Amino acid sequence: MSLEVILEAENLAKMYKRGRSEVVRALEGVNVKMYAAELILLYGPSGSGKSTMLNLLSGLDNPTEGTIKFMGEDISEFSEKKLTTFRRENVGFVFQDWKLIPNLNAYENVEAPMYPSNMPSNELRTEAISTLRELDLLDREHHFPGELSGGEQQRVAIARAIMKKPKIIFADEPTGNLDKTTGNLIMRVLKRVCRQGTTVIVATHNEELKDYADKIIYLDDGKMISQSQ
Amino acid sequence: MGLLRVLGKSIRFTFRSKLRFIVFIIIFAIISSFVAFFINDIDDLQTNRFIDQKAVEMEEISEFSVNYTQAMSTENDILNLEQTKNIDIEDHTKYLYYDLDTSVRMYSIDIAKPWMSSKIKPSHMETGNFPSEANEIMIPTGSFQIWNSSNNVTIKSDIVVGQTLIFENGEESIELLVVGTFNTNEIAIPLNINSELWMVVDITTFEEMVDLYDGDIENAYVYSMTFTVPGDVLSRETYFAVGELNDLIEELLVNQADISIYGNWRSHYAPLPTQEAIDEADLIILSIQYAILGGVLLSTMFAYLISRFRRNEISILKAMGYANRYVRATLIGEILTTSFVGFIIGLGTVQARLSYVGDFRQSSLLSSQSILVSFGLIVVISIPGMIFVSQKILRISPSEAFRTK
Repeated sequence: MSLEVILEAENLAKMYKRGRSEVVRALEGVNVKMYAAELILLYGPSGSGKSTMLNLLSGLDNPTEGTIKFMGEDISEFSEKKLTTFRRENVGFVFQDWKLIPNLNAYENVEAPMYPSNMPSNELRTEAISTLRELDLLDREHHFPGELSGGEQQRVAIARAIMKKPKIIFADEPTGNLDKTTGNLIMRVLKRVCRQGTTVIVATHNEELKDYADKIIYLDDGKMISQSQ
Repeated sequence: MGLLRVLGKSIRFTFRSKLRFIVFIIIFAIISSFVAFFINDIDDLQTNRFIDQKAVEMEEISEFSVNYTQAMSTENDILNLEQTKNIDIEDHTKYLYYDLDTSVRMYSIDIAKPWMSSKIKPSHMETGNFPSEANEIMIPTGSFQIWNSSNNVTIKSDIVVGQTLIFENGEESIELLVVGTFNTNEIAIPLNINSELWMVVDITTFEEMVDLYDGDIENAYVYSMTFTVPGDVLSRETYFAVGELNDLIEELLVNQADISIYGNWRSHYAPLPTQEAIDEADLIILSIQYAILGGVLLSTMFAYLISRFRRNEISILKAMGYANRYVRATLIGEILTTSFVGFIIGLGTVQARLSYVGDFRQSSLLSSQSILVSFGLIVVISIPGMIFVSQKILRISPSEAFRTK
């Protein structure tokens, strides 16, 4: 495993205001280092702060306290524009309910993150086809999300996430809507992606996914309880 | 490149949302057809009433009663009224005629100002088109040519639209293309059409033809002259300005002037626009305003619904790293595609309706200007929706992609 630090959080905290005076501590005191090509599990029950941590680490939300460094740069200091560029160039997302765009077929969904890029269309097509082939989806290229099974949709979502070759993939309950067999298949795919050099961060409350993790971060009530290699 | 690709893909993918797309296209088509139809009506009003509402037209009292020199004096003295009487004259044109020989007479028009004469104007066309090029001419319906063959057989044949007439003097020649025929009843000049060929030609060709026949433009006569005032043809203020100009012209030329200097003219302008005509114009303008208002409301509602329907997709695109301008391009592409396709269908519907109920010869189909103005309006109508969408998408956070299930 490479020892290059990809993401580092120090003293990370997020607080929300509820009503006029009540402050909810969604996350506090998190210190963690994440390395390249690691599969990291953010594990905890519902409401433990997994999604909040995922949002903060991916730059979708700003921390109330602490810093998040991506390859040495503090992303909590980034402007909105710089955060967008950061997400575009370095981050891929996989959602529990796939979040494929219903009007686009599998091929177009995979291609979509790259539309704003300056990559020539023929190269874009080659890349998308190769990604679909890698995930064994080539025969489903022209199918729309409604015509695909849950497992296939999740693989399309993973293909979409890895299409731009991100440094990190954030996956929020990626097996949450799938049966056990398909869920394992998806985790094997994510593990494979991870072995190719991408850091994969999975938020889950599913204990069975621990077998795939290189590192597990236990969260409860907004606090990091422990982490294990 | 990236932005164009996003816009192009958005336009292509718009056609995939079938039900929503069809419903909104139909609504846009209805709005567009109303806008195009009323704009065309306004255009018709503007052109058909142009001479009545905006101009003083002067006619010679009888044939050969105003020669070229007299017309020049008249024109200069009327234009001088701008300084002496402080009245604005927007434009002016004089219409000449000239006998090339005993059997061919030319009348001049200005092809750049087709509506400046009440006698020869596009709505008097029977077949073909009003000339738009200098070498194009019109003739009265039923014009014919006669010539003798080598066996002394006299041949008489109709001159038809599309025929070329060649005039030559042994050294040079001028070819003129017949592009239209008009109704002679509209021409009040008493001429025996059965023994003469009349040609209506652009003023530049008129002068070339006079030269070809070794003539002198100063030997031409003037059958009418038109002076217009500034302003909108549908306003009563314009009408009053015309009335004032007419009074000044009558005072200068008709009542007191020496006929030997100015020729023998009569000037006229139309009576005040009737209440019916004003009501008709008001109704059309009101209809356009309602159509535009309806269009703006529809376009904004459409934009609102798109930003609602697409809220989840917008958050996903933002999470993937789409900057606001790319997200905006996808939505604007959808709005523009829908409104443009709706506009084309609406336009087609109006054209089909006009073709069905109208007379082709009366150029009842939408004019290109009406189409352009209508299209411009449809684009303007879409702008509030686009601004709304732009504001709306700025407020959608990419983290919503995680929150919404």
